Amino acid sequence: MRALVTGAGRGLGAALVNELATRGITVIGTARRDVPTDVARSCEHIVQLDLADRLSIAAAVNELNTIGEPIDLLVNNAGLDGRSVGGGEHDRGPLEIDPNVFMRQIEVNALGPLLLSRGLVELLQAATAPRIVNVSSQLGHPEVVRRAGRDVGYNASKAALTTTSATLARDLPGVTVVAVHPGWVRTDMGGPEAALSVEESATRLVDAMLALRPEHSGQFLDVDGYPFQP
Amino acid sequence: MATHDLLIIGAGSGNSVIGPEHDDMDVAIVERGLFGGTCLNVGCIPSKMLVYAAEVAELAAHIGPKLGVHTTFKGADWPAIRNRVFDRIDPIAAGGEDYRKSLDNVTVYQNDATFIGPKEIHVGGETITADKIVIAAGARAWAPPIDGLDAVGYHTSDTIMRLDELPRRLAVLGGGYIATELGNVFGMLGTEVTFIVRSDAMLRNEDDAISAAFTEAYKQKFVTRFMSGVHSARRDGDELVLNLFPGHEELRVDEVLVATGRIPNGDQLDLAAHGFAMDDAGYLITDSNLRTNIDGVFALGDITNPVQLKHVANHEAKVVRHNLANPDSMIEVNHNFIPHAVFGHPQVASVGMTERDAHAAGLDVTCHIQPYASAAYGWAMEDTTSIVKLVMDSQTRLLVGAHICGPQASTLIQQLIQGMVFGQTVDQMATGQYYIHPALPEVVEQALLEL
Repeated sequence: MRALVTGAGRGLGAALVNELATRGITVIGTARRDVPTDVARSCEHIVQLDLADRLSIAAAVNELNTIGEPIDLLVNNAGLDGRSVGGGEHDRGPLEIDPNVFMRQIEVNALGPLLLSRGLVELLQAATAPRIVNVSSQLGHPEVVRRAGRDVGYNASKAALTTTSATLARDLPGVTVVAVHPGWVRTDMGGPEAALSVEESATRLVDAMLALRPEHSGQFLDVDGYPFQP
Repeated sequence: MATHDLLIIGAGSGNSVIGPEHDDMDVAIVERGLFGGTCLNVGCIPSKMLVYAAEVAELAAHIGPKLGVHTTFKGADWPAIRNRVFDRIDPIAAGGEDYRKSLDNVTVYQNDATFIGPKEIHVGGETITADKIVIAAGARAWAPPIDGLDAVGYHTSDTIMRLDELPRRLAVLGGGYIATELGNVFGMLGTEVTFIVRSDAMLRNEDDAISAAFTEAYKQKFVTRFMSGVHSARRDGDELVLNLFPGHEELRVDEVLVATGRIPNGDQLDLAAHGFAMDDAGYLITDSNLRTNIDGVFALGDITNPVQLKHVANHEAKVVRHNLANPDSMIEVNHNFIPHAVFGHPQVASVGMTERDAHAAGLDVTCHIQPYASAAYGWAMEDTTSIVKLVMDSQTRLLVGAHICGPQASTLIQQLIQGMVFGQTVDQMATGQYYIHPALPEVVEQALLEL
């Protein structure tokens, strides 16, 4: 089995790579820049990929198609919050947001995963039970956002990813496409107060990914693979 | 217990702390290796003597033919190249040691030193102390933990320059200044070099534009594997076999150079256990007068600072020397605008902030990249890849950083260092002096005029 994990350089992506490799799955990681040594050791290949850059996506797709091995599991994990794209601590709300910050999050968090998935359709369809797991967020769900989360670009981009995922599921019969909420995780993005360690989230998510069945396609699932309850 | 007036640990830059003012004092020097330290014996000096030979080889092989000159590279007489270096420098180290030993007031201890109290040192079975102590014990090469690496045997910058013969194939672990300088030397002298680099570029601490240009040049010249590393190493007959990640590809070579960083020697002196304040990376902490937290103990050079440069250690040795002699009017160390160079091919030189540093510091900066090809001498050299990058504070029009990648970078940058140190604006540097036409510094002039 071969998995591709985007955003392998840190946070949840790095933990997912290590968890998948621990279970004997061949992993290809992508990163904008470096990956830590433990992640590099766990990977079969590392592909440079900046999801904000369509040329970079095209180059990565080309590289993966040249490698040519079927991909059983595509994990669109890479994502950015407003801070990571230049938004200040207090100007990411709907009344202040810089349009460029908003658009960049849409590019990286929603459009990028779609373009990557689209470019890898042949490699996915060459696998026996292919699946695409889009790591979205509860903050893309309007019921949750009524209560929490001021990073409007992040919320909007995750909503876009979740619905893009469901739309793609309809057009890709034979490929199980889901969006997942990984829990509130202690990463650079989630902060130190978050409830789950990256390792715990990764372990539960990988369990859920491996248990996916075709009837899940199009759904938005929680960290354990159950339909997300806001 | 032997008691001295002044005790110096490390006869690299530490050796130059001693001056005529100490003639009436009882001075001791502890040195476990060669006099002259890293720079003279295993660092700057021998590497540059090799770099120059490699540059001549590269000119013959690649540049001459490009200009219509019938040069070829017919191979390197490695023993001759190596002996030119060490026949010159080994006697200097020996001479320095003999001179110190010849002085009546100086005792030389040739052993490892270990602190057993804040001012008590164990050395070769003796315990010694001194009123004033200077710690200048340097840093050492660090190798990452790799299965089997110790057993197969590897080289660092300490040993690779003294190889018996030129290896046919060399793996270089690392993409920093030591890796790129020495890897290029062997590559240009005829070795097949493969760089294995953990990050995605060479010289990652340089400005991004410089790192990118340099990386591109090395990709053209060598086999390079980025975001890569070594799972394990084993020996197969005469060959070393490296199992690389990502994946498990095997690389077969004759020698391995590990150039993955240097660490300070404070742990070997057991400083932390005896009250010395150390930072998280293991560097000995000093104040602006280069005093440690222990009264009467000064420190300088690589053991105190990740900026491991001989010109910094030389300056610090002067500061310590002054402060030892003038306890009531100490001077402060000056760490502003410390320049550095990488003698790879292309050459790199840099001073001040990178563009990224400047943004992180919240400065409003204007940057400009000027290609050598825009200056007449750049045309003459058929140069299409070299650049000068300047980073200017937009408010004050003072340079905050200058970065050059290309021929003579370490020479071209000196005028910019001078301008920055003496507070000249970009406009003063650009228009307040003549630039010799058509010399290479015109590219610096043009870069300044563009800001």
